[in-house]
Amino acid sequence: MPSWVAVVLLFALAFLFAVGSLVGTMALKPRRKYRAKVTAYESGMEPIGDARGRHSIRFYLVAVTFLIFDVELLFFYPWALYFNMIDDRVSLFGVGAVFLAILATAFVYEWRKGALDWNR
Amino acid sequence: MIEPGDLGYVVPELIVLGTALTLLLWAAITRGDRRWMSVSIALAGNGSAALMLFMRTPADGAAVELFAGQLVVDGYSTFFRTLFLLLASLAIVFGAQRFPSAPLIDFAALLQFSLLGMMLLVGAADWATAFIAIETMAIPVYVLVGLTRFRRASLEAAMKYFALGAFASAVLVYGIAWSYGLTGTTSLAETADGIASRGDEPWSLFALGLILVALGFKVAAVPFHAWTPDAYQGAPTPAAAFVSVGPKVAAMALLARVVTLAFEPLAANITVALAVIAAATMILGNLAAIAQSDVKRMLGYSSIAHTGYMLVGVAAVSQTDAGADFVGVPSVLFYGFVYALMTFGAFAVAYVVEAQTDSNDLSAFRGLARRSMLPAAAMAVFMLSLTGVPPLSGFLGKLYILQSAVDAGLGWLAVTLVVTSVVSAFYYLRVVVLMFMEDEDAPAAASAAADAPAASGAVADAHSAVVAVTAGATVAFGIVGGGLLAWAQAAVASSLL
Repeated sequence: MPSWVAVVLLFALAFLFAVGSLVGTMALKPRRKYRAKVTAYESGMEPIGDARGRHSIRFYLVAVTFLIFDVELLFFYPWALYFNMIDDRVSLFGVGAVFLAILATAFVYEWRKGALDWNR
Repeated sequence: MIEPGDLGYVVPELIVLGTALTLLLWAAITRGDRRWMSVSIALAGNGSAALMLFMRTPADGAAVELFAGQLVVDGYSTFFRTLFLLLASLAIVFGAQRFPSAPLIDFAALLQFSLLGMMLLVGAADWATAFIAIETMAIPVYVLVGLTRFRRASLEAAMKYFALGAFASAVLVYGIAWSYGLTGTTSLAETADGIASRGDEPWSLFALGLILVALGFKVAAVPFHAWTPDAYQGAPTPAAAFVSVGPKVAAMALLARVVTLAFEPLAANITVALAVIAAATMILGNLAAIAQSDVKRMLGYSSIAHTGYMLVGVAAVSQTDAGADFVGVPSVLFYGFVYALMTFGAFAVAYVVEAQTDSNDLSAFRGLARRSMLPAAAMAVFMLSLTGVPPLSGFLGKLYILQSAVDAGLGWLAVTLVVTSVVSAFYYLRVVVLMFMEDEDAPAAASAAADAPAASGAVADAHSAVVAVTAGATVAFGIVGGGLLAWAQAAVASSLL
């Protein structure tokens, strides 16, 4: 038996399981609808308006700000982990400082351009 | 492991990054007219980067691998980095003519970021570096195309360019993933060993195909060229000038390195694939350019045609006993250099006409020689050189590419190149005829002259200098092109190829 048969079997089982559960619930489920059950779940909040509403472009800038800090965090974890394992800590600190300076430039640019000014 | 000495070799890149960040901070902190400051910072940065580039080049010209094989400093990358530093410097001076203070400083910063990506791209020795560099190059360029954000055409062009560019990047990653899956390495040099050991199997060809498609988008080869004319027409002219030369030549440099290094064992297949693409690109680009009435669109199709000429050089492979010999690569370097200068110059003259008449239509060139002789003369040089008329550099470039195509036994491709070049004479010479042999429409010119934005003297002089430098180089490399070709050959010989 070729080694890939197991993979094909896995795919077939996964497909059958997905289709089977959908068809099974459709055939067996009771159909009793009431308001609370058919409304969208929004983490416990009362849903307001249409889900396809337009969002303010400012959320985009919030996302960009988030990205700056997120990338910072992502790259500082390995940096911090390696800090104690490497002898030449001065240059490692220098590398970290340069990275931080680049991110800080992005942040200062965003801030001075008024991206954090919500009521503009 | 990263050696501290590695950083010494990337000082030019670090300087370019430093100028980009300085420009961003300067844009954020200061107010008022910052045009002189933006141009000075960018030019000083690029000048010192060029100086460091030549001081830090290894004395024996050998390739040096940096950062655990991620990046390589060799003659090949130095050749292209010199060209890109020159192009970015020309573009910033060009931009100072077109943009007021606030967009100009953003233009300069974005230009520097894109330049950084291009400089890293030509030295990439690993797929990871290549991909990050290609994105660093491309993302600022999408913004450059949409920089005049209150013009619909500019936004539309940026959107199209972005959507197709992002799609091409996705295809590239897919190809890289296949290549990695087949060979177990992302290093370009080791990929070749992995591919060789797997032989001519279809999956290797699939990986190669995906990568060719993705890079075909970036260099605007048929059938992946559709974004080009729209992007150039909609972009502000300095951005169009930069986009048509910088990223295109950088992607061509990566393409040449990839096919000659990583996929070298598949050279026979590469020749067939690239020769067909090159023929289609030359034919379609030149035929479509004839029908254009907008000069930036025409230059867009013309740049597609020139992509085709360069691809002929990449496709020119001669099979020897030792293996495949990519005989055409030095001619591609030469052509990339002279193509960049003459196309950039043509966009610069197109802007002179745009500033005079507020139009990019070909009819605006009517009688240009009578209005302003020097731009008209320069434009004639660019058009004749793009056609390939001796003794200009475009002729030498085509000659070298033809030679390598014939050496590699691609006679039919050489014939296609010559025939399509003859076709291209029609639309290039039409501009020359309009400029020198026809009179302008009197009323239109009179009203336009009154509305023309009065560029201050020094800025206009600087712009004339851009036109003069590109025209002078186009003539000079045609007469003494041997030196540039020798440099290109040395660059290829000392590279990692």
